[in-house]
Order: sequence, then C-alpha cells, then structure tokens
Amino acid sequence: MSETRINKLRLELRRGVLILSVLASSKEPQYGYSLRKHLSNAGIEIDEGTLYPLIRRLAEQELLSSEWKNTDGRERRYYVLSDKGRVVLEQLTEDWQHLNKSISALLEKS
Amino acid sequence: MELVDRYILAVKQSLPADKGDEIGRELKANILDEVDALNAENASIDEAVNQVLNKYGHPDTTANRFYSRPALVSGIDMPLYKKVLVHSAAFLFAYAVVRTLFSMIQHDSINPIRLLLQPLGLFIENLSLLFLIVTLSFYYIGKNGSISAWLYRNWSLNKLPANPSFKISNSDTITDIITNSFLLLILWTHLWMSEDVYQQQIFAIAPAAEHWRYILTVLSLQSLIQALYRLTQIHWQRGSYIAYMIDHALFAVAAVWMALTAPIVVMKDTINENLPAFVLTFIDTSQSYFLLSVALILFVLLYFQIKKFPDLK
Repeated sequence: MSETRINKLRLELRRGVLILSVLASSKEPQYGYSLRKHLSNAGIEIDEGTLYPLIRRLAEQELLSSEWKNTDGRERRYYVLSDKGRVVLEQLTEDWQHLNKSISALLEKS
Repeated sequence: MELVDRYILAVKQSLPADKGDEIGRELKANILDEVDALNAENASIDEAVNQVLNKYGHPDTTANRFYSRPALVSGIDMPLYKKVLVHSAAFLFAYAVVRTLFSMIQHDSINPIRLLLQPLGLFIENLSLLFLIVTLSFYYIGKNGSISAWLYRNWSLNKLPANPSFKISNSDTITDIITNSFLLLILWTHLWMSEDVYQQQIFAIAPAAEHWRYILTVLSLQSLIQALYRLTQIHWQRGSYIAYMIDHALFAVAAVWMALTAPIVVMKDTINENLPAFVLTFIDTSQSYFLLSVALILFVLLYFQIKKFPDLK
C-alpha cells in the first residue's frame, strides 16, 4: 500500500483521538499555541491548520468555553473545558479505555 | 508583520462577514505566537512569518478549515439527489417531445428534422433551470437534516423488492408517457386545435365509433398515471407489475374490439371527394389489420410478462 494511503488511514485513526486529547489538555486554560506545545510535549504532533479550527469547533459545541485575555503584551483567546465538556470528557475517556482494552486484546490475538 | 495583516485580510475575504473579524483576530494571535516561537529559535522575523504563512497555505484553504460551508447536497442525500435529477430530466424530455408534437400538429406540419432537434433544444433550455431548482430544494430542505432519512423513516424489511433484478425500465416508462400523452392529444384535437387547422385535418373519428374517444381516454389516462407512478419507483412490485399487465391486456382487447368494429377513423367527406376510391378502400380495410397487429404485439408482450411473473414472488 502506498505511503499516501497509509497516511490517510493514520489521519482517520487519529481524528477521533485528537478531540479526546484536546479536551483532556484543556482542563487548565490554554491558548492555541500553548495547547499545541502541550500536546507536542505529550508526544501528539498536530499541525496548527488542524488544531486551531478544531478548538473553535469544540467551543461552538460548548465543550470548551473561551475568553480573550492580554498576556505578555498580546491578546490571546484562552480555552478551558466547560461543564458540558467535562461530562463529555468523562464519557469519552471511559469509551476510550474500553476501546483500547478491546483493541489491545484483538491485536494480541493476531 | 504587514504580510501577516495582508494574509489575515485575504482569509477574511473568504469568510462570511459575520465570522471574518472574530476568526481573523484569533488567527492573527495564533500566527504571531508561532512566529515568536520560531524567532526564539534564531529565525529572523521575516523568515518566521514566511515559514508560518507558507505552512498555513492558501488563504482560502485556511478559511475553509476555520469555517466549512454546508455542502449543497449532503453525501447521504446524493443517491436520492441523482435519482430526482435523472427522473425529472426524463420527465422534462417527455414534456419537450409532447410539446413539440403538440406544436407541430397545431401548425399542421410534421417535419422530421424539427421533430428531432426541437425537443432537444427545449430539453437543454429547461435542464439548467431544473438543475438549479432541484439543487436549491435539496439545499434548503436538507438544512434541517437528511432528506433520505426523513423519506425512508417508515421503511421496513417487508418493503424490500420481491426480486431486485426486476428493475423498471425508465425508457419504457418514458415511452409510455409520450405515447399516452400523444394519444390524448390526438383524441381531443377539437378541444385545443384552432378551427381552421381542425377543418383541414384529413382524418376524423367515425361517428359510429365516437364512444372509443372516451374509452381510449380512460385507458390512456390510467396508463399515464401508472407510468408517472413508475417514475418514482426503482423495482417492480407485485401490485405495479399486475397493473402493468392489466394495462397491456386492456389495450390489446381494445385493439381487437376496434379491429372488429372498424372503421374507427374515417376520411373527412370534403377530402374524400378528391381521393381515388382505392385509397379509401385501403384505409378502410387496413385499419383492421393495423389494429390486429397492435393487439398481436401487445398480446406477445403480455405473454412474456405473464411468463416472468412467477419470478417476482
């Protein structure tokens, strides 16, 4: 299989997990770049063209709340997990753990 | 930093007015953070700006990432959209053919080349409007959710086609629509044709066969309704197939009956005087043979339909 096709499959695999990663990383207020660094430090590389629109979508779905703040002489939009986001994160975490366990078992068998 | 502002402006131009300012403001904050980070890694400001903006790519791409417009037709509704377009286009073509025939009869001139080209021109003329109407309808109705999901909400397993290989032929359906529409026009020429043109017609229904005008009208109308209904279906169901067979049987019996009671169509008296006697005899006798041939074809079709019917169970 071509590298391009494999990359597409990787992207598909990561898509859902990225939402979980962003929600989990937003327990503390984060602005776009700080969130990207935070994820990168955790070993999850995500380009800015994907991450920033994703944060906005999560905010539109009211999973993240946001406010503009001036820090270091620059205005930045800070995002933090909302109450609704917290509930969703709990449910998704549970689903992820269950899924992870099942898939690990499947992968071990094969 | 002027380059950043120009980039943001270009992105904003690809966004709806009410979203542009907010997205632009946030995008600028993010870009400046990225530039600062690169600058801290020893890249000059200009180099950093170039690098970051090149990574974002074309302003339209960035705008689409931040604000994806709803598709005119959602992927899930696409098969239904195609079906509606194809069937509407087929109906439009039938309309174009009937309208051309109507116009030709009205002007008392049947020109074969015009008969081919005019429906095509009329069809193409209306096709763009059809495309626009269907697409906009799907867009506006689809805004509130999937149209297919709503249409198929009452679907159940027992509505599966009895035999999926029994597909309705669209070309047959269109032929039926055109034939029946044309027959109705011919039967009722005196209602829509101008008096002058009507008087010049060579043929008329024989006074003794006037009742056939009404019988054939009823038969054509039911056949036309059946054909229009079939346009909305993909597969034959037992009910629609039986109705189709009855339709053919009725026309076949009517053709035999007319053949036995011919002449159904007569030459008008005023024109009779100018025609040789053998022509009149030929028209009188050939009617029966023509009607019997039509009946024979319909009975053969019916035979094959009946033969296939058990497979539909």
